[in-house]
Amino acid sequence: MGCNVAMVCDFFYPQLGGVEFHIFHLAQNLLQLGHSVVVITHAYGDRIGIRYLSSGLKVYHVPHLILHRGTTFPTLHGTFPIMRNIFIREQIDIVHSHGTASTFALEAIFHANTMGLRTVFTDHSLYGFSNIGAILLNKLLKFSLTNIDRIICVSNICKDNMIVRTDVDPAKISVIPNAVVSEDFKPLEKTNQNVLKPSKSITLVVISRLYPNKGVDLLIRLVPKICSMHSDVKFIIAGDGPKYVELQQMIESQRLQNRVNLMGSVPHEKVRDIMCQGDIYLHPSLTEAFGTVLVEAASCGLLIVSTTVGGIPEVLPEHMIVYANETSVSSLAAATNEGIRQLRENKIDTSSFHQEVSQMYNWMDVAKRTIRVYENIYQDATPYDKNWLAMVKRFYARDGVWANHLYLLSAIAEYILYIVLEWLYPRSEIDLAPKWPYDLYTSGM
Amino acid sequence: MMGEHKKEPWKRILWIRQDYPDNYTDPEFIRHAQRLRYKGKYAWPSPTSATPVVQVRTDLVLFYNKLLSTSLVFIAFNFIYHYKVDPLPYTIALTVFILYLSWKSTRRWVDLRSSLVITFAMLTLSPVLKSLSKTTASNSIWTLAFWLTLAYVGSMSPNSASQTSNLSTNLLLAIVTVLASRLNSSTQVFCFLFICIQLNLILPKLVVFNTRLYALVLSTIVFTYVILALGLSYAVVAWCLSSFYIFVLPQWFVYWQTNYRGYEASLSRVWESQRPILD
Amino acid sequence: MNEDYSKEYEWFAYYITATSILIFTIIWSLLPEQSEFNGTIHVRLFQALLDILPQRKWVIYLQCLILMGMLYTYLALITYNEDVLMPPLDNLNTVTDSQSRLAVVEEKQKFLNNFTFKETSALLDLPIMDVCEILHGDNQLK
Repeated sequence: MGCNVAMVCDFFYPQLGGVEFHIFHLAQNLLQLGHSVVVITHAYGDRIGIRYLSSGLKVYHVPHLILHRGTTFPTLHGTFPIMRNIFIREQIDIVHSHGTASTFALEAIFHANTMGLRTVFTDHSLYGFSNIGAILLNKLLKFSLTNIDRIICVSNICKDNMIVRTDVDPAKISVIPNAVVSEDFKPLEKTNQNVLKPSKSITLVVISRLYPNKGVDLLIRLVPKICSMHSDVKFIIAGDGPKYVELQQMIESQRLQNRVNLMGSVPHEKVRDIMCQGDIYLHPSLTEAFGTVLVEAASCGLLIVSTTVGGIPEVLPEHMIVYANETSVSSLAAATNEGIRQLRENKIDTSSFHQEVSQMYNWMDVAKRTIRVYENIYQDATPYDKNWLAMVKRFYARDGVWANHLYLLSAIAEYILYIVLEWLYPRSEIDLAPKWPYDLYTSGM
Repeated sequence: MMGEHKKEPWKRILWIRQDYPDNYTDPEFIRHAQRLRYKGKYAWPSPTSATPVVQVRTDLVLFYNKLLSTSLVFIAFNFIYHYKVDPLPYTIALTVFILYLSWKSTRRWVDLRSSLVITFAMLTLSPVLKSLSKTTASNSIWTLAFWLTLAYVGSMSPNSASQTSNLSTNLLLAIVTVLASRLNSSTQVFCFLFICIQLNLILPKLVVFNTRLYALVLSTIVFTYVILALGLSYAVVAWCLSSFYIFVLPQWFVYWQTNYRGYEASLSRVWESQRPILD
Repeated sequence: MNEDYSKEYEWFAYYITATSILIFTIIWSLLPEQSEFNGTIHVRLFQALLDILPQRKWVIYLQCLILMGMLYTYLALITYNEDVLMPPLDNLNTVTDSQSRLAVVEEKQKFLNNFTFKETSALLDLPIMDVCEILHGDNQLK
């Protein structure tokens, strides 16, 4: 017997990124395992309404005013009518939200708790405490996660960060890593497999959005250094962002046009082709929760050279990755030299990487672990989890004197709104949506 | 045959399936977090970790002196505008004083060429400044000056070495420009400009600015003026605020630091974006 | 000993500013009117204070503005989402759009096998007529 799951996030197709693909692949695998999944997100341009994606994944694109970089305007109770309607239509049991920076996700948790549904939250990034944006987001997250059932983090350091940020019981937080689709990231068929002649040129690949926190400053100084140290090394840099112009200027001033290929932004289907042109993947990022791109690159048979920030040391075994100990240009240059040396001297065999990675990370495993989390909720369930009074008490026990009264006010306003909506739009008048007929297909097999 | 199998210790890696449930928590981390949380909220401040009160007081006195120098701008303006005092002899006296100080401290003349260039630039600009906002009503000028002063105070940084931008200097010049439009003759504008720049920008670099002596001197000047010009009641209010600032605030800062800021600040470096070292 | 405490001072300055604004608002709204003080010693001191502060009715105005502004934003946002951003039911954007990539396959059995019940790595939309047939048709999938 499967449960009906609603995945809520601001970020979904047609926006392409880590969170979006995570939701898509997780949802598809959950569908294969017999649960029913619905995705709720906001409208993108003229993509409004309901769409059906492959394997019957239903996506609701709810029209909502967009504030900044794809996140909707935050009103705490404004999304309640439409979300209540969707939850009732699809007979949702569990609401699974993704992303801290997504107001849709946090509001969905709040509304689902009011309606008595179970809630799960997945976090994909790390947040510090030093700037005002991070502090406000952490406060908002702390408020939203007061009554949550379970939390999933993509790496162990993400779990540490979550414990400190939101003050929840650590037994509620599970660590389930991301995964890649192995068939999409196969290396090229090589005729002479293991021999890399010493005279063959080595290509370094960098694929990232060119923001400062991805280490583009380090990259700008690293490229000329490496090019001067080795005469047969080439670079391929793909991706777009605010630092693109600086990168172009560096190439022009150092006259490296025939050694560095600056490609701009590439669609997601072409990523594998670009990676297969390279031998080493360079990742100078300054912060990273999991680093799915590293797993993709390893799956394509590239050696990884990376900094040790965030969750990167937890992702790949030692023989696939060369670490730079500090986030400095000299340290990265030393690591790159080490990587080039290992390839030249045939110290490692990258052709086995694809096989190893496909056994380490795959989406079916992630889906199964997620289902175990869902089942765990029902095993530990008590009738006081979603009791309104119990939830209000938990809000009151949070934080300081000013904050908990504000939480109380929001919670009570939400309950009043729920009662009003139950009277205005009664449940009996909401049609139930038909579910995708999996049993028909599987029984006919 | 079960039961003899000893569990391997939990490792912080994601690529192999370990024999622990997904929600297993690293006990090392729990101890670490608890230690810091206990220290932050319930323990008394340890004498070594808090900032020494003396240093806080020194830094605060620096800021206080800067505030008083700002009020000197307004006092000078009032003298020229309201009481119609001729500023030229005062300007010359102040310039001589500054030159003497710079000669004494660095044993050579201050870089004459660039300062002469700037002086002549100011001379040229004075008639322009005088007529720039002549038609604006006086009330809007006072409002502008008020908000600019607030912005200037807000943009001042306590440590002059770590200042990254010229914003505070630019704001100061903006205040002076805005006020100078109310004056009558170009000489007055030039003298006003000169006095303000010397008092607020050059003097802090030549004299050690965070001594109590300097604070005392400035305070007597400002408070005397306030008493004479605005009456005793305003002076009492200002005096209350100043004494609160000098005597109460440093203690409050140390108290705040130990009780409110201990916990997350020490942990957070690990999870933030690291700083790139460009060597 | 010469550590740079400017970050600490900055945060402390925010704390002091927030606390002072709070205290200031409380005192400002509770201060008595001018006429209540006659002939006491402190009359000139209070006169000085009252001269500096803005008029007291602005406390009420500001609070009402914020409260009503929040209510207005909620209602305006809900109605804007429902009436302006939502296309009418006969608009084609409710079923397809410029960014969708359709999985159009001629042969029905192949379509069913590859796209309808199976996961794909590319993100493809299913055409709406096939969806309606599967959901509401006569269950004759074979």
